[in-house]
Amino acid sequence: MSGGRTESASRTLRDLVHEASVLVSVGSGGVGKTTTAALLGLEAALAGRRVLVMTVDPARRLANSLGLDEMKDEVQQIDLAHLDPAPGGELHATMLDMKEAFDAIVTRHAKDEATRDAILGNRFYRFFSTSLAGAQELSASERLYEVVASGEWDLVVLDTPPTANALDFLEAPLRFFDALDSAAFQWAIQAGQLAARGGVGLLHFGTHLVTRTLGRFTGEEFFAELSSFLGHFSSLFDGFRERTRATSELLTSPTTRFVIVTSPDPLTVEEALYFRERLAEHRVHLAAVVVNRVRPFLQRNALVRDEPTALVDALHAIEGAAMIGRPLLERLARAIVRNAREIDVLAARDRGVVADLVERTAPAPVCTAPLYAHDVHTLDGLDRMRKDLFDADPTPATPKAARG
Amino acid sequence: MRNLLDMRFLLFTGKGGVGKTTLAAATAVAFARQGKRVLVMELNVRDRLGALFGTEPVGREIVSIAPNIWAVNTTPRDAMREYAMMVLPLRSLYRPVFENRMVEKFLRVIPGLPELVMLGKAYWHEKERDDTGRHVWDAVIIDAPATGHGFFLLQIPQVITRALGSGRMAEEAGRMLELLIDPKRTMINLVTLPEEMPVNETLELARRLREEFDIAPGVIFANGVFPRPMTVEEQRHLDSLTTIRPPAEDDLGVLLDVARFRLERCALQQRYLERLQREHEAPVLSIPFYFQPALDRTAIEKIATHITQGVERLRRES
Repeated sequence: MSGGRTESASRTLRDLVHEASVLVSVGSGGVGKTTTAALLGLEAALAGRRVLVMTVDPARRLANSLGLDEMKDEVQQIDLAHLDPAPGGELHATMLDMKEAFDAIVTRHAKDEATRDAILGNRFYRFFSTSLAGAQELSASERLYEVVASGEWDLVVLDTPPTANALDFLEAPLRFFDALDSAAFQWAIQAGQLAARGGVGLLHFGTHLVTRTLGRFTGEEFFAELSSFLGHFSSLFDGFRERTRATSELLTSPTTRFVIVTSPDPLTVEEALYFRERLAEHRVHLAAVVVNRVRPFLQRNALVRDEPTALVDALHAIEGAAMIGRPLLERLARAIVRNAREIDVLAARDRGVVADLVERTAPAPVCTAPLYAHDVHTLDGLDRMRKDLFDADPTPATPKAARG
Repeated sequence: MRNLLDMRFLLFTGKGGVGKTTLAAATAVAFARQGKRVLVMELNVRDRLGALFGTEPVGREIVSIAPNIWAVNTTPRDAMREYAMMVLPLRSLYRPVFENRMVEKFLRVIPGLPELVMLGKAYWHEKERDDTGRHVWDAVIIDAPATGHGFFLLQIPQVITRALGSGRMAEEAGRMLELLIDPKRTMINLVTLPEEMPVNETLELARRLREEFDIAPGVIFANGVFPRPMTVEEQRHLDSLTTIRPPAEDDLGVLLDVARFRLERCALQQRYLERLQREHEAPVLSIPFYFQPALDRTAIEKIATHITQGVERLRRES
């Protein structure tokens, strides 16, 4: 891998962060999506843009590293004044409360107060509004549309919900509507009423057979109650549908860019590559792949390759080391080399994985952030990480990490 | 003290990326070594068990992946069909009813139904008996979804039972709930890494298990614990040397940095291990990190040994 290519790669991510109006951070669980979203926002703010980072993760550490006590629903401005150089832009953060966001959707689209109250008060809704297939993703994309439409921000960075499948964010709202297409929906509502009455009535015999069997399957009471809930819910649909179309346009617009976040774990990388393919199918634009927690590579280090005597000599030459005594220095040298080799097994793997990723995701850039010895707890720490992400060679030869 | 390897129904959950599948697989190996027949269930995910055991990817059919170990990657659709077949008076009803386009669409959006039927399949396998009346499986291990969705999976039977009161589904859900909270058969195990975010999530999950189900988590697996790279005495000398020598990018400087990096990571992990042990009463089992490019069958076998020894140690200590 040439240094030139990797340099232009990180410049490209930087360019996109400076140009895009929406950035969406997606990836498997536990790969650092939220932190990456914060880093993208910070970079844009330092470049003079007015940025909002929307997260779904209430993690206190991220809040702390942004100088906040906690992530809140309302928008909070991050104090960047002491960063060097002081930024020309602004960074704001907000946490998306899924339950409230979904309630807001219902409230917005309900045709009257009675419908709204019937839905918000329904026992199915109360439990499932945050778990209904696609509901979280629907809330997140609706809220995204709203803040973008407000025109208040140069850039909105969205950290997607922690789903097993990053694509749920794109696909779940579509699935939600597909599954509830009006024919199936109307059928279910009628069938439910029928099951509740226990009569054949309006529907022909085939449907009657189906509802009787389903009633047996789910319990008739459940089926009837669910149908009544869906009946109220269906009245929201015209509003939903229109908004989903608008959101979908926003997500596929060229000024909206997706960032796939991954760890260097080979299985997680396979998932990232799978996400990339599927994102392309959805015609969304990829900004970059970010690999977090990449370990430093040491193999070129002569002191690891050679006999440990070279390292003992080097240690011995440190001022004051003579006092420690040669036998102890020898033991220390062996421990240092063993450690370096162990870490290097992982580093070599990470390096291979990243090189492979660079090839397979071209022309989209691959950017890496190293594994740090410490958790990032402060804005300064976050800013160091930002520099590593935007400036570093994707496969670091030296462990910046240790001094991070 | 309950023993992990005496249980019949085991769930593994925790934050994404902490090694739930690894620990579920290694626990299966620990069972298998006792001569027990184990079924490991993945719930509609991209299969990882096949790669760990070096077999073909595990799909919708139950397949043998190692001696005494079988696996399946179930889907809501398959689980629904199997469940319907058990519930329906006539099997011939399945196709016209469940493969009806409207019904398929409708079933897909019933909140919690996919989770309920997959859990129902697991529940059914726990009960499953052969012609001679013996249990088909000595243990059923579920590689459950990550924390949020995993907890939702656990809540489903309770919600259905409370919401419905009566009907076939409510009865089934009631029996599933009984199994989930039965301390003699079931253990809900939490997998974590000794790092801030995963530990926070684990403690939160343990609290919710107690408050909402009145059950204690089984074993907390602290995965990926770095072995100490040197003795305390060696570390003291290293510290003094790195204090004297200014940081440098030369070969020696880089090596010293990497040594300190490892030691600092170890210290950080120890702090979170202590926090785990301090803040709740479930036994914590540390699983060492293996320095190899990818986890394979060999690593799983080593982790299984670690689990067996750890369980034995916990038994002696109690």
